[in-house]
Amino acid sequence: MIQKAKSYRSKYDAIVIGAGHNGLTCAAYLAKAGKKVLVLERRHLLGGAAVSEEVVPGFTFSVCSYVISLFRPHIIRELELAKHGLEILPLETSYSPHHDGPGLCRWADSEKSRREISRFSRKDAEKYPEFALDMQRVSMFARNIIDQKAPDPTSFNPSELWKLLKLGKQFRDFGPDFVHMHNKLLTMSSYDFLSEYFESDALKAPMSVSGIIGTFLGVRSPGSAYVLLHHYMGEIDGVFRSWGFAKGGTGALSNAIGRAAAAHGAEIHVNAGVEKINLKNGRATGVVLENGDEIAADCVVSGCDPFRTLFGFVGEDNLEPDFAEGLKQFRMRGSSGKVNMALSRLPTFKDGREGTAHLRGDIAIAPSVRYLEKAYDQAKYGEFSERPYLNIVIPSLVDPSVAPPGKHVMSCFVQYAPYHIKEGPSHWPKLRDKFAKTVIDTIEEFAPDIRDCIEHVQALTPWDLEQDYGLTEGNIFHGELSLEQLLFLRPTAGWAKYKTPIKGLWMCASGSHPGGGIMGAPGELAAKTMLRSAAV
Amino acid sequence: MASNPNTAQNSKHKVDCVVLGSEPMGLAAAVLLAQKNKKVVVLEHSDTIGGIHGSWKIGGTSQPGLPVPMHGVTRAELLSLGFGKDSLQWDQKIGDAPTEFCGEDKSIPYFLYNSDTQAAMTGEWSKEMVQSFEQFCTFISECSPFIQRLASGKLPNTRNLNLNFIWSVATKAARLRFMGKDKMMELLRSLPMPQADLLSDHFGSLADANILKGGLSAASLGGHFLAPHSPGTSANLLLWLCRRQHGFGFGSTELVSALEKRLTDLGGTIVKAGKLQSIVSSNHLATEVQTSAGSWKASNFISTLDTKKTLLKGVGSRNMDFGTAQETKNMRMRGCSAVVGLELNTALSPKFSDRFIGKHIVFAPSQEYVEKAFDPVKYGEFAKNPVLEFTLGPDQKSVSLRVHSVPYELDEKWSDETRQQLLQAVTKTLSRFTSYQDSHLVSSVVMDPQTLESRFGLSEGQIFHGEMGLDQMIARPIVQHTDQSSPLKNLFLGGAGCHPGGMFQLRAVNEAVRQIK
Repeated sequence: MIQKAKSYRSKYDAIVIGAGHNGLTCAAYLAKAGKKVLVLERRHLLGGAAVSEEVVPGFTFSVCSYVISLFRPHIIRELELAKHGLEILPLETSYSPHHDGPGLCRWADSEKSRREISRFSRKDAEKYPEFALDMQRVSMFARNIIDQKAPDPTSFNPSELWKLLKLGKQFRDFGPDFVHMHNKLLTMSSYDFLSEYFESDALKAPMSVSGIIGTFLGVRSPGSAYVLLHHYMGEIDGVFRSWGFAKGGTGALSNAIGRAAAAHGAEIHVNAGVEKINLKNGRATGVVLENGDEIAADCVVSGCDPFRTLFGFVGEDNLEPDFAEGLKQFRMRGSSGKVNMALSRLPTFKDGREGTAHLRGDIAIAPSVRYLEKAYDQAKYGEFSERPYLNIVIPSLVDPSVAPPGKHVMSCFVQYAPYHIKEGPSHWPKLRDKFAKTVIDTIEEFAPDIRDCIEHVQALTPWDLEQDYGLTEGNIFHGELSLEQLLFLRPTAGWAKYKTPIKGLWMCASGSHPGGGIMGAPGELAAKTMLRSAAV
Repeated sequence: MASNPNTAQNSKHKVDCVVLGSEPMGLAAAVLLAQKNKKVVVLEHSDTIGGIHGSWKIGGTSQPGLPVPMHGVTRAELLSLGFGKDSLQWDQKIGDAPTEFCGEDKSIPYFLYNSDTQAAMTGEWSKEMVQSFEQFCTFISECSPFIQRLASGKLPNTRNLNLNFIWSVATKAARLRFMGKDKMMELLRSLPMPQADLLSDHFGSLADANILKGGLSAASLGGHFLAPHSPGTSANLLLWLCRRQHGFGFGSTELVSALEKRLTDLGGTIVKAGKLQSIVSSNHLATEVQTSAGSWKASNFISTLDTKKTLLKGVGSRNMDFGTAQETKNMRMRGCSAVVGLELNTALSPKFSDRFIGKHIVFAPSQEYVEKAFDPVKYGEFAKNPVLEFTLGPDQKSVSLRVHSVPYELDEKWSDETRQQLLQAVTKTLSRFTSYQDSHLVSSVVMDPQTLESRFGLSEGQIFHGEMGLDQMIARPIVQHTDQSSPLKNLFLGGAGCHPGGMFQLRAVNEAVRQIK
């Protein structure tokens, strides 16, 4: 599907900068509507941060994102992604090892989970299904918000007000306690919110931590309960809170979307980095590549984050000062890193558990809330956590295609690794080895033979995420998912509907509503907005 | 001080209205009821009228307990309590008695009027700082009318999304919208942010702003189990700043004395009645209050005690629906402040000048100091370098401090020894920026949150009757009863735990009294 010859049309309906999953989704929908679309990717392969790479021969790493859940099911249907090679294998477990004892594992089988949780608290085991039900209710409601454009509260437009009223009615339909629960989820910390249901630290720690992934929050920071929900909303085949691996790594998702886009006639070029966006009389007329080629288009859509798009490709000089000042306040602060490893064999966790069933999902190094909060405290003052939170997956257990027989891939998401360390972000490369060592030391406390299993380590600091994967400040969501940066405020007030102040320039990635998390929603909604406004 | 002597056990009384708690809002409620010709009694459990705001003894001297400057109270409210110009020092405006934000080598007097603050800092502040401060103050004054309306209005009842609710939200939204589209967005964006981010937006990393940022964080967040990097704390900051746009320079202790006298003049009584045992009810009507000293029957009751005590101890969870009981149990009331009193033999002055300018003094030299002080509380320890807020007696030899980041549940357990350690942390910190020396100390009182609980009846030593995190601000005290009602039809909730909370305010008490015919 990737063009070999570097020959371009004289003019395209739309150029999409960046073949990340949102850019590709946007391109696919535009192409499906009959538009002549060109996708330009700087790197040598598709996916952006949703990418699979053979970093070590024989081993396929999901270098950045490593699980899928929130990808909108209707996009999978509408783009026929299964036909184009997408297969999602559900994660079967969520395991949290402890320093002593078998730790806690939650299973797809609710009876097994109940027995495990009862070891720590009977009351919690009873409450667990109730919590799941409450989250599902809110998820059903929140789903509506994700799949639509953000409402604009400043508008006097009757259709906007009508949308708000309809939203209000939906609130009412969920019962008298619903608004309050919804408000609590938006404003409480994930730890406090969970404490209203549960008492045991062993359960609260791994549950609260999904509230802080990709954010600069601790589990006890107000606002983290929202991100808990954001991650709870994932659904696969109609089942909420189920996560999965894409067979072949996360890049398989991007490749499937790319194939769908190509099938509808989109052109996709790699090794074609964009230098800047051409402007004429304040209007985007096309792009200039790093190699000097100029390509014209009726409009340009950026699949990169807002800073890269507007300060990078457009340039601050071409922006109104007020807009630029406002956009600069959009917070990007990356807080995570990634360590991927090729393993010669499975490490042995000292939990006394039989077999490997409990390792086939995600493994959370989150032994206690105190551990997690201390990890966060360090980040506040510009250090990476000495004992970080790790979210580990070993996809080769479920998808043997990603490693040679008997060998394994281990992917570790690491928090906290603040982009803005106290020595300054450019100091990160000097800390890379120490960072990798910290991660391996942490794993060693739970799997003492890890070092014997390692064939290769790839460590990505927030600096690397920025330099190599185009994520400004290493922020995996193209901008923090805090309340003041969502909905009509994302990425900045007044520009939440995928348009930018530059005529003909649109944004379609995670820096726009509804945000990050491999949803595909920004890409789809941007395309549909563009088509409806006849911009393309 | 006119109050009845301890009454005999099992004595029975009958009045028109009972007010639980003699803190300033309880006394104000009683005055308002007495003005309506009701026979009122105020029941107080501790040995101090005014609770934590009354005066208490340190060593041999009686001194103002916690003379917090009276931000937020209005002239109209004082008039409604029947105070003429003579009963309180009305001419002593807050403008004359700024809050003084102290660092180690200098301070910023934060006046009521920003121009006064700027004038005081001329020559000290760089041009950029002056400009940033001006813009910040403009932002505050633009938000202020809306924030004040929110604080003085009712909370919309989210459990009943009827026309009333739509009207309540719509009028607030319209008011917000009439600020102008840009200002509206800026305010909406600012409210959920961490204070650190908001102040960073306005002041960047100007070194001149360090003490200001530290002081503002300390003053607006102390006692709430929050810190500058916590999201939602901009709301606390805006609330603190907008509501101190008016007020008086006298402290709450003076107000307590004045209210006591006023109540007595009106024929009301304050009784040291011992601990609350229960609020007896039948058919959802409260009939009498029982304490260790006796029982009081009345037709109406107002409680200014914290909501957990009122509902769980007083009413009893079996007398309310499950949701209400659950919500009350879930209220976060983690006390994280201590109250310390020092009696000195030498007047206390700052190291960097010969006397303190402010009446309300805050030591928090930077935002990072406040954040670092907060961290240990999460792990059951008190801050070795705490945030201090204090006022001085007229001779500057008695110091009343609020010490922040002191947990209710101390890992090592509260004892004379750990209280002594806390005192040492306080005095060591005082030595950093004042003339204090250990030889100046004559006597001291250290009240950790557990002591505050047993002595003043504050659940978990939480001095605001409920942390003011965003979720607890929008449904205060609990979502089922944001309108001063309670599970009992003639029991009303007033006091600090009600909207808006955080400072002396008559809104809740006025609303409660209004509902009593």
